[in-house]
Amino acid sequence: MVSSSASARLPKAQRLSWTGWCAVGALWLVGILALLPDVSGDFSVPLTLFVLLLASIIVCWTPVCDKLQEHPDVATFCVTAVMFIVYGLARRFDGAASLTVHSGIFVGDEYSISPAAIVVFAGAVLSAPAWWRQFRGWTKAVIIALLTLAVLGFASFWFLSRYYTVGATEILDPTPLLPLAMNILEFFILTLVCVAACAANNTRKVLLKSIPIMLFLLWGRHAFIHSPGGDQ
Amino acid sequence: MQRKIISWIDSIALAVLVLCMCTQIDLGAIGRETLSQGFATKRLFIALPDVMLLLVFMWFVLRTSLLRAWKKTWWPPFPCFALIACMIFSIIHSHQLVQALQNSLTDVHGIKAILKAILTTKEFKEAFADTLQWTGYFIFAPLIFVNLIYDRSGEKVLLRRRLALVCFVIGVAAAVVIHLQSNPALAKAWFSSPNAYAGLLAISLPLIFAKVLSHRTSNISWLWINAWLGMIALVITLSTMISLWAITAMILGIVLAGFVYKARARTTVIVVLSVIFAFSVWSKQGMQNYYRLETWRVPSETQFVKKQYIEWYVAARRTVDRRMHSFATGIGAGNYQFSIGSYYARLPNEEKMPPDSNNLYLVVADSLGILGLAALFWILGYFFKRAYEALRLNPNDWLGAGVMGFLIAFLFVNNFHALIVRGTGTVLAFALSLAIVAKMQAQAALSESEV
Repeated sequence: MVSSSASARLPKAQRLSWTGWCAVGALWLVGILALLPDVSGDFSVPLTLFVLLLASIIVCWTPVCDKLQEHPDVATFCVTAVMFIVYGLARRFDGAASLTVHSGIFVGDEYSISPAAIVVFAGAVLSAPAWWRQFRGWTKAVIIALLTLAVLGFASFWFLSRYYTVGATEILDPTPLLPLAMNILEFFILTLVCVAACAANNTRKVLLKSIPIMLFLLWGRHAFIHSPGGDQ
Repeated sequence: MQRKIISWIDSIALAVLVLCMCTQIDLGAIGRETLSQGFATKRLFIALPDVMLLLVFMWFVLRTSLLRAWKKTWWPPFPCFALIACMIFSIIHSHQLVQALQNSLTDVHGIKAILKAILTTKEFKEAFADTLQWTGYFIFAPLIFVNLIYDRSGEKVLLRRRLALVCFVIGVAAAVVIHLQSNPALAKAWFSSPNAYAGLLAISLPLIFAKVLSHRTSNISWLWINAWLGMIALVITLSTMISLWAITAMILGIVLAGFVYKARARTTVIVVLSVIFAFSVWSKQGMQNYYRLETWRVPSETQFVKKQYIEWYVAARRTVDRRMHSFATGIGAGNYQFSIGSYYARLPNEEKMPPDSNNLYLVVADSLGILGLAALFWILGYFFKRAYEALRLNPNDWLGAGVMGFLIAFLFVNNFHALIVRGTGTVLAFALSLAIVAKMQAQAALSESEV
């Protein structure tokens, strides 16, 4: 109660900045979680991280970064592109904190919610004032893309269910629908967190400057440190 | 003198490119045909519009350097580069593509290994060809079109809008005339697929029709002549199209263009009468009507639902394969067809080569991931907004409305016929460029009037 009234007294820009820091924190936590899974059999991960690291050094640690500061939409794209890849890695770690959900509609469908998803969800809730009404071109495009995929996926399932038997062991398997819905939801929430982190000048600047460090740590971890019996 | 010669060559290059982009003529193919051995084909076709695009791009670089006009050059917006970046991410983050690269690392290393992977593996060839092609359509083509149509290299702006649009109408009309001939071989040589041809008309006609609707004149007889000519052209066009999805997209596009241009009554009359006349022509086209109904029919000859629609669900389910990193960055540019078969599971997988959902959005979501799909929508949204702004700044100019109609038809028809394929991608770039030209012209007119 005390904190909410204190927050209400803060000027709008400062409140946005405070919530923006929550988004930056959530993204960094996702980055740390991405250090945990072992993907030693998958060479594409260190390769991608290396290319992203080089690109981010050029973009974030040179005068190009000042240009990005002037174009929040472009900065949001850069952050989103990096975080989509980092998040894909982070959610491969399901640890002890993961939750398994069922749709309750079809037998056999289940989806494991990773700790990274929980972090992103918390980040999106805390940073809501920062991303609220901040939907520019790129954010709108991501939302349209996610909606398009949702409509095509679910509509095609509904359409085929009129012609084929539905069930986990029948002709039309409905079990991918839950992962599809959860993926759409997770990446939508992640996009909101990225928008929140890029909404204010100061949070955007800190995030952009720190992204190469995050990528360097991730690249070092996944290129050189492997545990025996990792993902093959 | 030199500037005059360059200007002439510019005009010729622009005209030839616009004329060529309305075809899909194959100049040749590279790679081995492996269909008979039970594999996806290893051939890559090279289409005339793509070769012309490359040649005109080379000329554009040369003439801009000669004129020292790089500073005055309009550059494609960031979303276009973002899409190409997403394509590169999709390749380097693709498990199967990097696996192919790793396999080629066994005997050679470094650049040689990368070259070997690109030259010898089908996955890399497709990825490379697709990235090159889309770079052409989303960066080179808009760069060429905008700067040649709205040429700011000299002291005064040289506008080639009429030349480009007249050539476009001639190109589309030539395709229609070829399809009016009862010569299937010629039609196939001109456009490898009747669906691609129908798709081209579906997106082109709204743009052309915005011009037909645009005559704001007090001369009523000229208005009627114009409307009748437009209607005749529409009926002839409709008689050559066999995809009902493309016809629906075309009507949607024309109606939107007419409505935003505030020519509602004329648009309604032209569209309604054209469809009525088209039905009377169709009643005499027995074989074409069979194919037309085929586009709306759900079952195929062997199963309850034809492969195209089954594959929509299969493609949507593939996006969630975590191991392949499918959701964020996809399976790799140009690699849609290679592994889709294994995702059918128990759904009937009808023989059809190549396997294709013909849905651009699912193909992009699968191959470039949600990042690539979002980048594509970002581009379309960016240019749609420019077209809208052009129309708002100058409500008398029909071009903004035409581009908006084009893009609506494009968004609809790509659910059924993926149109960013060899050749036809240039037509999209042309329309996107016209949005910029319309906006630049509207701004120039506004600043002139203010002065």
